[in-house]
Amino acid sequence: MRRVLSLTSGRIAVAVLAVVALLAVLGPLLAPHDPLATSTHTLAPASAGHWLGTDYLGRDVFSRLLAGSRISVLGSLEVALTALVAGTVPGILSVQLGRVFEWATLRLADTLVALPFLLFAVAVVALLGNGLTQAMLVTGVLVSPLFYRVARAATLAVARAPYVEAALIAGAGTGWIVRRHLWAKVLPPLAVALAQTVGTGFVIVSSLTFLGIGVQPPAPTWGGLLASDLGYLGHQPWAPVAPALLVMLTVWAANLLADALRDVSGEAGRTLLRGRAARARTAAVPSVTPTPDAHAGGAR
Amino acid sequence: MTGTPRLGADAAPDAPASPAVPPNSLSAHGGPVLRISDLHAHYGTRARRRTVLAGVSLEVAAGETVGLIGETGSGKSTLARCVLGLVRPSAGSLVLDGEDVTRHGHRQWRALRRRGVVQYVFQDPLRSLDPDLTVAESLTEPLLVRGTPWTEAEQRARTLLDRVRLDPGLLTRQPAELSGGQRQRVAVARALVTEPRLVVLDEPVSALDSANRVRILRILKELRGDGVALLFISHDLGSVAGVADRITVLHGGTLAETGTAADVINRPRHPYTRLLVRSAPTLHGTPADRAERDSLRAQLTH
Amino acid sequence: MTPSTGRTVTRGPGEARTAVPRSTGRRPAAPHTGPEPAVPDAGRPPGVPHAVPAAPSPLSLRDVRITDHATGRKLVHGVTFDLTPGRTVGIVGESGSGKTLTCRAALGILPAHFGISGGSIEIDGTDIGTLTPRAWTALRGSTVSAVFQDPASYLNPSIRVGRQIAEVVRVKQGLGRRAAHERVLGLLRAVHLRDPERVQGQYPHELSGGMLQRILIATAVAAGPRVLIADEATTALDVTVQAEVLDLLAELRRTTGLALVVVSHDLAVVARLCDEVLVMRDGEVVEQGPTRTVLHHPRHPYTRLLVDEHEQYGLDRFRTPEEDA
Repeated sequence: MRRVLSLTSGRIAVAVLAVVALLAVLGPLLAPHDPLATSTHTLAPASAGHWLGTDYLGRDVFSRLLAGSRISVLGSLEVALTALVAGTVPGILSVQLGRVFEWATLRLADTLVALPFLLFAVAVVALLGNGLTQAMLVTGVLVSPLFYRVARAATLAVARAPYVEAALIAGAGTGWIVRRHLWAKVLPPLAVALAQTVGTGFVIVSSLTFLGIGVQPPAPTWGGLLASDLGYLGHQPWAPVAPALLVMLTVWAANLLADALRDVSGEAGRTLLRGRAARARTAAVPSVTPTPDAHAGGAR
Repeated sequence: MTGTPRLGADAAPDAPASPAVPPNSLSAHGGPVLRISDLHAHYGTRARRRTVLAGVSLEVAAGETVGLIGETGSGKSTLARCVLGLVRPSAGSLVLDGEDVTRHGHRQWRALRRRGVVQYVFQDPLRSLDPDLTVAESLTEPLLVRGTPWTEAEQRARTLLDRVRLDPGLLTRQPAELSGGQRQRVAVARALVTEPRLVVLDEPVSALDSANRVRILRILKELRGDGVALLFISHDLGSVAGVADRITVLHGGTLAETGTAADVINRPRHPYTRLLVRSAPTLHGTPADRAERDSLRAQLTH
Repeated sequence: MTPSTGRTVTRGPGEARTAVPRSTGRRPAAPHTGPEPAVPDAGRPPGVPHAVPAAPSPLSLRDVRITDHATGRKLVHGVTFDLTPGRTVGIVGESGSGKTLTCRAALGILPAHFGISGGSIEIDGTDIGTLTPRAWTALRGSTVSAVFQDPASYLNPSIRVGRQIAEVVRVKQGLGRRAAHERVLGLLRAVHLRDPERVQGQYPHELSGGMLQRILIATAVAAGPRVLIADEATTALDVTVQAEVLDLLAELRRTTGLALVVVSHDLAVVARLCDEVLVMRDGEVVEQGPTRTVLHHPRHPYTRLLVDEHEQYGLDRFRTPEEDA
């Protein structure tokens, strides 16, 4: 994490996401009006009383945005975490356990990828009842092949490495090898995938609530707001801008964080950071007198 | 420290036993630490079966260093992997420290490995240590796996670093901060941490320059006094000649020749051994020209 | 990274000779000076010029110094040697001794922020400090060429080897498609690959390390260079294959007058091929002279150590003295 913060892009991403997280926690409390209270001032433009105007039922848009942030953020986190757990564990084990498990999980992953997730989500919601958790869990499972692939690829890359064999020869079991050697190699690409999924999670939650799946209409979400605003484009062409911007900004920040994570992780990331440190060091000392540690560093 | 004098090996008796086996280092059961008899190994499925080892026999006694010479495709690495339980032989028998391991399953192998009977040193010092772990973590792994407490394991790691003449300050470093030669010495130390009966070294010096090569070979020579059996696998006759008591030459999955190091190098009987010896460049003497090599090769195909 | 970023001390009117016309075709078998040079170069102070040869030396280094400008560390402190056609110079030393850096300097491929900080390198009479990047490109391959340790990493895995050699021939010698194909087959035959027709249609992964190294040598000599630098070129090969490759280099030297620079940490490889040897440690040439003298009667303690270690931990451990005839 400290390494991520050494990059400017990482700092920006973390700052934006922190603000979003704050909104999610405090949003409903900060709302100046009751997000569900209707009034006769329908479709009012922005004013001192209603910073972002009111919607077609006269509800305060700003309050609805703040109130909706918790569900939106929670929803996307739920998607991402479900996908993480459902994908990573079989992904790592597909390399470590036998051929049968590998074959079965691979085929399952292919199947999940082939399913159109919106249709599937509609079907499951119809089956289990309309609730945010149901919808998000289902979506999470459908996104999990991403994590399965990422975890599997990262595991495959190191599973035959001499140091893994050395551990095996030392008598280590699968659990030990995963904890001690594989985990550290699988984690960085997984973190990247997770950040990306949080980004897509927003879009998914938004599009599901846009369709009315997961959240019942009176409760506000960013996607729901976007949907209702779009219905009144003729009257208020600027209305969708605020929720759309919020979704965009968060997704962008999550992707930025993913990029920053990728840049600083793994062998390449270490070299990048070491190179910076070395340059900083040589800039700091006059080059006429090489420092002792420049000697040590250059010995090879 | 000084190693064997140059002609010392010449004076060694022709008997296959090691010239310098300390009395206390005899295997618990009295026999050799490793006994391979008529070992066969295959790769691939029944339809496309490729024979890699076809009847190889080999013995390594406590305190003895046996060199296993072979070029690409000779089956030497497969033999090593059989000894470590990573490849299951298809026929023959494999006895490790008095225990017949030929038919051992996963569980039995793991139990055997946890006792630290056999250890391994890889060729590539770049990849044989986990880049995310410190030297101490890598060194202590074989002990921690068995449940040795950390402080005790770390103490042992410290002693072993000293053995391979590395500064104990390196314990907290990561492999990227070490040179290739230092990493390989750490790998050797890791192989010794459980006081194994047998260490299999697969091309341990091939990726190193001459100074580091000699450093490792010196350490290996010193180990003889501890009664560790070493199986030194290499394509490079020179490195093996530097430390081995006996040499076995593999050619195309079969045993070409076996004998004392001096015999195999000075009086090679098999044409393949002769080809190897005569092809290797030396400081003194003239190696074979192309005509001589071709005639030796011709003998091989007959 | 171009060599011109390094501060080069130019000596003499080398720049005037940049336009020396060079035939790019394969050199005829030039008569060479024989394996044993008349005058050993040992001990010649760096500043004193050699007796001026009639034709320019294909490669000559004068007191070459290399500095890492990022740290200000001096990595090579004065390397001097001269090649004549058919002559072989060996450089031995540990990793980090500066032997590879010296070669890279002679090829104009020093890593970023490394530069030549003193002395001069002349290729075919031209001081390399005066070369433009374009002139370098013309020179590499057709005058100086090189082969390195890991042959597989120098070939594109997804292109048939024949096409990769043909590309070099077509660019460097301006041959047409058909002529280039013939030339490739000729080159593969010259490096003793059996069935060149089949080999040229194969991909790198289908060939063994020894075959790949021969293909790289074929590529390196394709444009008829005058100097070939072999940096640990046989280190990764099996012993019998190594012998073949060393023989091949010796043969090329004999038949085409190619001058060789052989870099190796293996004294025996150098003993096998070289007329003159430089022993390097920490960027310093500690001993230099005819191979036999240096390796059989080393004067510097470091050379003595290397030779002793080689004899004690190598095949020579078992050699009886009378074989050393």
